[in-house]
Amino acid sequence: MDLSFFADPVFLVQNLVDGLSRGALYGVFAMGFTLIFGVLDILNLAHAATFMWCAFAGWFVMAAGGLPLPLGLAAAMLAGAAIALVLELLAFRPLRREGADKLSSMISSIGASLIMVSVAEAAFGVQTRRFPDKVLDPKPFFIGGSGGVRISRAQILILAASIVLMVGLGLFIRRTRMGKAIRAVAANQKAARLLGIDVNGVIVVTFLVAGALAGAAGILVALLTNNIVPGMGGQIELRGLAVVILGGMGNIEGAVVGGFLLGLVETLTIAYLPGGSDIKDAIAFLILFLILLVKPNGIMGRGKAERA
Amino acid sequence: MDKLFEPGLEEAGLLEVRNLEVRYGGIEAVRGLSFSVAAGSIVAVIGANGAGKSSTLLAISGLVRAAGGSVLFDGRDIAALRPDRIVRAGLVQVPEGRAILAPLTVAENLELGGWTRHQKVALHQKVALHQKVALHQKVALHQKVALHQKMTSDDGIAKDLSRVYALFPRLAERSRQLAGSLSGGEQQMLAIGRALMARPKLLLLDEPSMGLAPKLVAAIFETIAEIRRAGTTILLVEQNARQALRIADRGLVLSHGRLLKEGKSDELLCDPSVVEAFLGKA
Amino acid sequence: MSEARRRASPYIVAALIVAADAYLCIKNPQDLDRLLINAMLALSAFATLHARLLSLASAGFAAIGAYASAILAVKLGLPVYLSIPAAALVCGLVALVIGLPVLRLKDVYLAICTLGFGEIVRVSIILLPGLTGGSTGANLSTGFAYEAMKKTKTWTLALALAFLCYLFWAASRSRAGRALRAIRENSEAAETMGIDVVAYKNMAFLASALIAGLAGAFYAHSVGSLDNGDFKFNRAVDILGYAVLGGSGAWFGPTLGAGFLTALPILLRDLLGSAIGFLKNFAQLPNILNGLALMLVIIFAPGGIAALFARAPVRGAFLSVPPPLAPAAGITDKVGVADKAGVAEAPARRAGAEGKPFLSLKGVSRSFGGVEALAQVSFDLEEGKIYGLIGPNGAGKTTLINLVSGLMPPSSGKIEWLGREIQGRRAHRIARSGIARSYQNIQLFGEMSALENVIVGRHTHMRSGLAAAWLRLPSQKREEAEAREEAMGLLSRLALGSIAGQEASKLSYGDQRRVEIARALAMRPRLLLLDEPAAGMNEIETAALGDFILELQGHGVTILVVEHHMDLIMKICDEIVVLNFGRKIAEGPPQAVARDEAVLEAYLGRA
Repeated sequence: MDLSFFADPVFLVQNLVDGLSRGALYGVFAMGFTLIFGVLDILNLAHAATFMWCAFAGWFVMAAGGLPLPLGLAAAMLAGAAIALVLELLAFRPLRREGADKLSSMISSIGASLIMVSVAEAAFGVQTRRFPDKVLDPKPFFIGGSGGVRISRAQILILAASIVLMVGLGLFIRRTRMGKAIRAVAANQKAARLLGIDVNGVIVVTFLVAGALAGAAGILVALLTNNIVPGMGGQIELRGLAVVILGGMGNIEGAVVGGFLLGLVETLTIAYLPGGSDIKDAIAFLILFLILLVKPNGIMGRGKAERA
Repeated sequence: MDKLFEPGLEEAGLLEVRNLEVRYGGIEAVRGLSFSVAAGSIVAVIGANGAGKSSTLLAISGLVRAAGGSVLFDGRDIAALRPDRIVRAGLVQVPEGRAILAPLTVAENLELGGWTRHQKVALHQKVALHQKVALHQKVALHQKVALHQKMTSDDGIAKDLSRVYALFPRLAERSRQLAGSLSGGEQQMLAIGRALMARPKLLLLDEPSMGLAPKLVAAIFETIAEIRRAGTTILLVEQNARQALRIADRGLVLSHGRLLKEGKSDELLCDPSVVEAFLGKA
Repeated sequence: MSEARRRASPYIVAALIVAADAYLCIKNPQDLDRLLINAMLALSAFATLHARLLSLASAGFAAIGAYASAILAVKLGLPVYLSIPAAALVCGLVALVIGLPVLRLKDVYLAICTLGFGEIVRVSIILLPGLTGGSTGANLSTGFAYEAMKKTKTWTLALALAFLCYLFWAASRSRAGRALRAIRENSEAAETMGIDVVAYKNMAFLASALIAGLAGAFYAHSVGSLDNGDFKFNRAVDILGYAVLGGSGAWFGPTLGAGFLTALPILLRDLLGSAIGFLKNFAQLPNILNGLALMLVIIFAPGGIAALFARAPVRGAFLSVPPPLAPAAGITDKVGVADKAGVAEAPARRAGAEGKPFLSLKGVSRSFGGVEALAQVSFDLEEGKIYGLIGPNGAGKTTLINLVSGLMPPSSGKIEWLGREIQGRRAHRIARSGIARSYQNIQLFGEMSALENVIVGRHTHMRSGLAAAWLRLPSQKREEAEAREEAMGLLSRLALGSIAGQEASKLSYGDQRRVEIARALAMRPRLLLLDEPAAGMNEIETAALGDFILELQGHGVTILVVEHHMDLIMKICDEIVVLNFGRKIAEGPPQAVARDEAVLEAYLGRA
């Protein structure tokens, strides 16, 4: 092992930058995931398929339609909200009405995800879509001269956008009336009903917000990787799961912190461990296994997990 | 349904329950229950466990659909309404076990108690404003500002909040604490305070003294009496029959889902058959 | 739909599926192998899903099995008939190792962990290219040559599948199968019947791994090549689809599901493709159908195809119900056992440990979060008496029963049973040592018949294991028959003989309560804990129950009854313990307790 690696500060900072931007993406994706789990106690495994469709939506608006980036982002988030709403109405609400258990909802979302991905494959084929350069200038910035740390516009946008989204979601949940209602429903549905809160309405809002977050994540990931394919949801879904559990189910701050942590660990592993790039896919789950062995509620868990 | 007019009946109470029937699967929890609650009074519902007291309240507040009978609140039949609509109508329940929102703070819990009021103010006025705009009627700036202020101001809520804090000073001390960290008695106070924030016409209390130490029990009952003095009608379900009957005007004794006895509370207090209903024949 | 048609419908469905598969295989013989392997994977999924473990690990185990067998056969030169079982054993070992921690997780976490397991397997395969040929397709690299791999014939595969089906079929009629069904319905109640839930879950997981490994190994040798992508996440979802569509209630469910979902896309393509041109090239069709199947089944028919069989005669054949015996006298007539004063001499005490107390609670406390549900409760029970445990709502009565029966440990204090400390021990051990209980809100095994519920109570007194069931040993059959007879006898004594064959969840409330008591009695307990047995009963039923409890005492059973029906308590109890706010406030014979000021205050409130 070439120990001079460790001595190079530029390399380290570069990896920190890369790791944080990757982690920011995981965080934005995981936020929507964990929001639904917090409120409804169910794992929406169609979140990744939503994410993928929004990336395509954004691509159509920007690349095919020629509209500028902000509109593309907005379009993706709107698409996400709409798709999430349809999911709630078709895949989840009928089960809630029947009083089905949580696992059934999860299975229903798996089915929905399967349909969504397959239809995308059929409709869009397997060739990669890319953004044209005019959407976002791919030329990166170099901090500290041309040999210094490289950061692309996409990464800057990702870091900025994810901070805005995270702060925004936090404020929404903590300060607004609807946000409090969401927390009330998440805490105790029966009590929320007794307060006069329209629980189904609150659930709809939750899905809209989660879907919009998926949409944002979709566009941001697409901008970074420039590789839009129907299968793009698979890898991030697994990592999203890991992050959600690491941070504690339903814990939004945990999802954010967990996302950054995972992003950093993955990037640093690839950089400093020989053969690291091969195992990076499994890192998330190795960590997950180990954490769950010791703390079944996740690191910042809500105490919802129980022993069988 | 509009107001019912039934000539020949004595003046209808704020709450009229007629032939209420509540079932859980195969069991009949409540059968043929009829009673009324006069405005401004406290009615205590007492009885042994399994007598059907909680089921009665659950059916009235809409959390459980009644299998039969009618529930008239202020003249309207609410038996088929959704719970959140019933709350908007002014009927608020403090459930057994309190059901507070543990991860939220005391203040947030109380604010959420005022959830329905806020919306009521906003919605119909918003609609009126939009209608005016749609008809190109002149909407003066000051009207818009006033409406905006009304929609965003929590004037009424702030006042009620201070009233609740005056009633329960302990809550004021702990207003920023998470509700889940409060003691049982404090949680009960929070639950009642939260219900009061909705400015209910009728307050349903399901076993407020349950799990509380005797000293707190006395304090809670004193508070309930005070709430009535301020003008709220109260339907109180209790295991602690004596204390409940002490502050109530009338009492209902349930047994096996039916009404065993009804009458003035001070008469019931002295009635030996009531004691029997609880502890069996000595 | 007429009754006859409804009963026939599941068979029609099954026949249609078989026909569709036959068509498939005639048209394309390679598909037969694929079908058989899918069926085997479906059985693997059944093993865990049947016990309500949402494990998605079958794909991962299949991958391990496939590569293990390939390595053993090709690199180490083992003959295929050895490498395949060996590969399955490797999977079994892995399952034992990861099962212990993972199976303790609940539902969602278990599912995610098993998904993660699959992912780790996939990555490991890439990481060991020397061994596995990496991810470029094992066949093409130096990994595994087709000729070396392609070793199995279809008939061996079919034989293996048939054998597995036999094992599952026989197991479903065995004591172990019944235990698994009980765990599926209500694992907590199963534990208090003496069933070691953890051991059974581990066994189910192990079985699932072995079968999936076997399927994977067969796959490697029948297809002749391996690619890392063969066992991706999608595969796990496919398998889930088989199990959901087929229904995990019966062993043949997932297999039918596999048959359906394997054949359907090809059928559609062939039959309709000509009509709808683009369908012929629709590669995503299987996935879309799978997704639709998952959603539609889980929303509209959550039990899957297997649930259709529930009302068919097949199910009844599992358990032929003997004719009901006449209910024993003493249940329907109100015997003149008015109250304790009139009872004749106490029955002879069973030979118990001399000098050691029967059940003894010493300073038992239990807190939940900050709330103290029980505080320093101490009392002793003597053998042969009937004790009442009363107190207002929230006094801690059910908590006490939960502690004694072992569902949770006390926060402090000791519980001694027959001279040994049992606090903190697992519930199934306590159940085996002679303590049985009933529940406040009924915890029957809903989809099992009343008779089967009671037979579960016999679990700890039966010995036959899976081996006996698989070998169809006469001892096993005899044991089953005896258990059935005893269960029937118990039901008859409680005047339930006529409903013995009915599904427990469909019985009336009062009947359900009595079935639960019968089930507890089937354990032949020395101490019976009854939690509000008379709840929801009318006066006549309550009186009959009281007589029955007295009769039990006559047979030497010690009983602790939690109740609010004061008439019942006063009539049958030798002694009463009163709890309030988690503390014992009174103890003694009924007359004394009823007049105790503290008790009156607890119930009615301070004067």
